[in-house]
Amino acid sequence: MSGARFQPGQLVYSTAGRDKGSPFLIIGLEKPGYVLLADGRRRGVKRPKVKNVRHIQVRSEIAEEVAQVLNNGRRPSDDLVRRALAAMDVTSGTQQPGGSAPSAAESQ
Amino acid sequence: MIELKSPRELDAMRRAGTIVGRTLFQLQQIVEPGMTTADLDKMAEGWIRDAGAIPAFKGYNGFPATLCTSVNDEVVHGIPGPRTLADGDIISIDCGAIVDGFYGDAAVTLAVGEISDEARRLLDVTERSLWAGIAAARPGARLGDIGHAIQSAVEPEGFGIVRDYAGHGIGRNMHEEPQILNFGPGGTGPVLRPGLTLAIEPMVNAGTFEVFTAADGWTVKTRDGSLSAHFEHTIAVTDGEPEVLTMYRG
Repeated sequence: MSGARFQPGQLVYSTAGRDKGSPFLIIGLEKPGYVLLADGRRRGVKRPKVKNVRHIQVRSEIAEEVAQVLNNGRRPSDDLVRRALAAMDVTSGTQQPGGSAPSAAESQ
Repeated sequence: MIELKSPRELDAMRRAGTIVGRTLFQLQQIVEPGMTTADLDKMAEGWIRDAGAIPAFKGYNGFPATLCTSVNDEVVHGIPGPRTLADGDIISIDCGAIVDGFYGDAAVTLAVGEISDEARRLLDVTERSLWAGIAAARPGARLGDIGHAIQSAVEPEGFGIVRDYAGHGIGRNMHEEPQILNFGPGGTGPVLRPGLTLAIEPMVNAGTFEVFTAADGWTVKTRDGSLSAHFEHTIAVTDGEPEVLTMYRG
């Protein structure tokens, strides 16, 4: 059974805009082709960034605690998102060779 | 975290995989015009439970059945029901089973009666792309090599490789890391190591790759109404050739 490509709690990097290169977690799916992103700092959970999927690079890591909260229909706290991102390997940014999945922009 | 499986864990996955492979093989023998997708589901559930396994999909995130049955322009996650199969249809059947806590997951697209040459070509290309992806799952290769091999087998044929759904790691859970995109550049992503177990599953549309989810909240369909096919195996990366855990040869 295939999994959705964009999942709640999934780690992504912005590849375009002022936040280019920054890590975020997917905290919701907007209309087709758009995701809601938060990092718990500049982008809080209450005011997530609506981002075109062509402008993110998707990683396979999922913040399980955040995913659990979202899958229960609740909203994670900014603190939880911050802690989840801090616990993930987000130092590699978008440029590390071989470290990441291709971005939608590159592949479509 | 990407988890590597021990020989004991691989053995449970092999048993789960064999039950899944056998179920799909048996369904292939009996699919014919006039059957309903619910008929297929009922039989599959009986076979899986008789073998001492648990249907993996039933209840998964609320999915109501043992099989996903996706007919013609349905891509994946179709819910079995009263729909009667007609001569010329194609049906994608996705099946999962749990043995001793470990999962097996596989899918095939079958012809119902006589199908068109174009539908046949879609099935052939999709199955070939699965095997291209499996062949790329060698130790030392990278995850992106799998998706690149699949995309390279599909797009030159003029078909669309679905992007919104992906293959996945599998083992103690149906969906584990890593996610396996069916497209993208090779030479990217984590290095593949022996003990890594993956469900590789290209979904290929005869038209564009765009899809949408129907009102039932599950069934994914092609946006342009074109036919779609889906082949999947659960495999283990080994020291050499990948081992196909869901293989059953009758």
